[in-house]
Amino acid sequence: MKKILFIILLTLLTTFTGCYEMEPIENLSIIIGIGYDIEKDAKKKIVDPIEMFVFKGDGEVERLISPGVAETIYNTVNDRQTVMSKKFLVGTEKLYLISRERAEYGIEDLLETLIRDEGRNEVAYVAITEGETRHFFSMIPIDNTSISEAISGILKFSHLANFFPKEVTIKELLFMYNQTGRRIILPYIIDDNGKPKIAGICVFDGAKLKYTIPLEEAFYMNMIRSRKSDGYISILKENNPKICYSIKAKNFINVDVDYKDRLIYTINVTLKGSLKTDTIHNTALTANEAKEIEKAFEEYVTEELNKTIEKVQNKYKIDCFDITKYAAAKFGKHSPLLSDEEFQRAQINVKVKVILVDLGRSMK
Amino acid sequence: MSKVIENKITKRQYIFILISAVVGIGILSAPNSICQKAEQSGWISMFIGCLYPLTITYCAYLCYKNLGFIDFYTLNEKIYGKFFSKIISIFFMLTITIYSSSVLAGFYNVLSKEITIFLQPSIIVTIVSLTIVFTASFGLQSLGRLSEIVFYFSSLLFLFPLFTIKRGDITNILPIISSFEKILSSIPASFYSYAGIEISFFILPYVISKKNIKYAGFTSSIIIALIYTLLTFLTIYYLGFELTTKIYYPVLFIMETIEISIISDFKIIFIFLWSGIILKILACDYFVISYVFSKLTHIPYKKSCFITWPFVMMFTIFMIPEHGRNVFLENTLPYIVYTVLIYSITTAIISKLKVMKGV
Repeated sequence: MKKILFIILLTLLTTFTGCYEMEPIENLSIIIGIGYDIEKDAKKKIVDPIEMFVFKGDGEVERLISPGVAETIYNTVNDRQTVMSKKFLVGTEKLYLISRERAEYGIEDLLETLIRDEGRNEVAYVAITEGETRHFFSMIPIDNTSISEAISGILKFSHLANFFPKEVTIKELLFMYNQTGRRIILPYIIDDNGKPKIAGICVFDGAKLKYTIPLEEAFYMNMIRSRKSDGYISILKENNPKICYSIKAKNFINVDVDYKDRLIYTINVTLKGSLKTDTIHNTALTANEAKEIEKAFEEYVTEELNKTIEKVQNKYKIDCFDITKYAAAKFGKHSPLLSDEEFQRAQINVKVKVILVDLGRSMK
Repeated sequence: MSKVIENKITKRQYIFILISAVVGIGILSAPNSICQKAEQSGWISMFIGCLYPLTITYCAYLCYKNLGFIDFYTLNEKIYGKFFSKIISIFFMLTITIYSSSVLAGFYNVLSKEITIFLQPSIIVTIVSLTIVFTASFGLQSLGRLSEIVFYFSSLLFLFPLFTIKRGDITNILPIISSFEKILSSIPASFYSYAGIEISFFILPYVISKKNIKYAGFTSSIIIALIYTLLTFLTIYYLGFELTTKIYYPVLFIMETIEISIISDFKIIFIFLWSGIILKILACDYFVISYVFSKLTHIPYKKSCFITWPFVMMFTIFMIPEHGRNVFLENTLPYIVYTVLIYSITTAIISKLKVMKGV
C-alpha cells in the first residue's frame, strides 16, 4: 500500500513540470536595458525606451530599441505592447539608465517599484545619462553585442580606477536611498564622440538629482565614500609629465565622529599601494627615500582633500562624502544632527596615511 | 510489517523536532516584523524573545516531571478534569492547525511568486499536504529521524547569509542600543516567531531516556534563538533596518543579490533547500493535529491523519491571500501565544501543588 502510494505521488509530481503555455524562443524578446526619460511639456510625460534581444531563428540575434510613452512607468508597457510582436521576458535586465532630466524631476516612483516588484533584477547596474537615454541605447556598440552590456561593463569595472565604489547596482541604489544618513550618488555617463563615458558623479537630494560633479572633483569624493577601491595618484614636478611620482593605491577609510558645539568628523584615509613611477629619484630606492615619497603623497592628498571638503561645504552644501551615516551610527538614527545645516557647520579633519607596500622592481 | 506505530524518540531527536517545529516561514520574514519597532536593535529583542521557548519547554518538563511521564491528554485530565481537558486539547489542535495552514499558505505564496508562477494554488497545496499526511502517518519515530537528517542538510541554508559579512556596513547596526523602550516593546513581536514550540508538550513523554531532558529543551531553544538572531543581525547589517521594514521577505532579497558564477539566480537554490525545512515543520505540526484528534475521538492515529486532512486544506485555502493571512495572524497570534504561556505556567504550578499535597 505504502509503495503504491509512493509511486503514485512520484508520478503525479512529474506531470506538474513542463512547458505548458510557454512560448518558443523565436517569440520572445529579452530585456537587457531599461531607460527612463521624461518629456516635461507633453501630457504623457514618461518615456521608457527598452533595449532587448530578439531572436529571429537560425541562431540570429538582433537588438531592438522600443520606447513606450505613457503617464506612468507601468503604463508604458501598455503602450509598447501595442507595437511589439513578441512576448516580454522580464528579470534579465543588466542596466538601468536614468536621464538627467528625469532624475532632476524625481525618481520616487521608480525607487518604490524597485522594492515592490519581485521581477526586477537587483544586481543590474544603474547610471545617470547626460541626455536622453534613448540616444544612448541607439549608439552602436563596438566591443559588445548591445549597448547595455557595454555600459554595464564600464560600470562594473569602474572601481579599478578613480576610487569608484565597487557596486553601482540597483540594490546599492536602494541602500543609498533608504539607509539613514546616506544619499544617492550615481555615476554620470556622457556621449563622448558616439561612445559612452563616465564623466563624473551625480549627487541626489532625496529622490531628486541636485548636482553633477565632474570627475576631477569626484576623484577625491570617491576616495572618501568608497572603500577598498583602486586609484592612481601622481605628483608632477614643474608641471612636466616626465618628472613625477605615481602610485597605485587602495583606500581604507575609518571615520570617527564627535560633537562639541558642532560635529567633528575625523576621517582617517589609509592609502596602501605600490610605487609605479619615480623619475625624481630615478635610482633604486632606500627606505628613507621611500618614506619621503610617502610623506610627499600624504601632504599632497591632504591638501587636495581639504580643498574638496571646503568646496563641498561651501558650494554644494550637502554631504557628498557619504559620512553622515557615521554620525547616524554614533548619535542614533533619529538624531537632529544629521541635517544638511549641521554638515555645513561641521569640522572635517582629514588624516592621510600612505603606505607603500611595494616599491617596484628597482629597490635596494 | 508491524501495525503498531513506534512512538519512541531519542533525546537528540527531541531537540531536532523542537527546532523543526519552530523554524519555518519565520526565517524569511522574522527580521521584517521585529524591525518595525526595534529598528537597528531588532536582533537583541529577537534574542531576548527566546524566553518564550525556554519558559514553555521548562514548564512542559516540570509538568511531566511532577506527574510522571504520562501522555498529554491524561495529564490534562489529572489536572483540570475531563471537560476542561477536552477544551484544552481542542484549543491546541486549532492553534496548531492555524500554524500549519499559515505555513503552508505562506509556502505557496513564496513558491508562486518566486519560482512556480505557472502552477495553480490547489495543485501545490494538495500535493504538499498529501505528502505531509503521508509523512506524518508514519508516526513520531520517523518524524524524529527525518527532522534530524533534514536539519543536517538544511543547516547549510543558515550559512548562506554569512556571505553578507564582507559586504555589509557596520554603521547599519550602530548604535547597538538607541532606546531600551523600543527593544522591550518589540519583545512580544519576537515571541510570535517562536510560536510552534508548544509541540514540546506533546512529544516530551515519548523521549526514551528522561535523564537531563530539561537541558534538551534549553539546547533547542538556544539553537533556535541563535538561528533567528544571526539571521536578523545579518539582515540589518546588510540592508539597514529601513529597507528591512519595507520588504516582507528580506532574507529572500539578500539571496537574490548573491552573485555566484554559473548560478544565475541563487534564490532558487535557497528556496529549494528551504522547502525541506517547510515540509519538516508541516509534518511536525500535522503529527500534533492528528495525535490530538485521535486522542479526542479514539480513532486510530493513522486514520485520523487522513480525516483531519480536509480541515487543514480548508484553513489553508482561506489563508492564501498574503495580506489576509497577515491580518488574521496579527489578530490571533498574540492571544494564542499569551494563552499558551499562561496555560503552561499555571499547569506547571498546579502540578507542583498536586505533588506537594501528595496526590
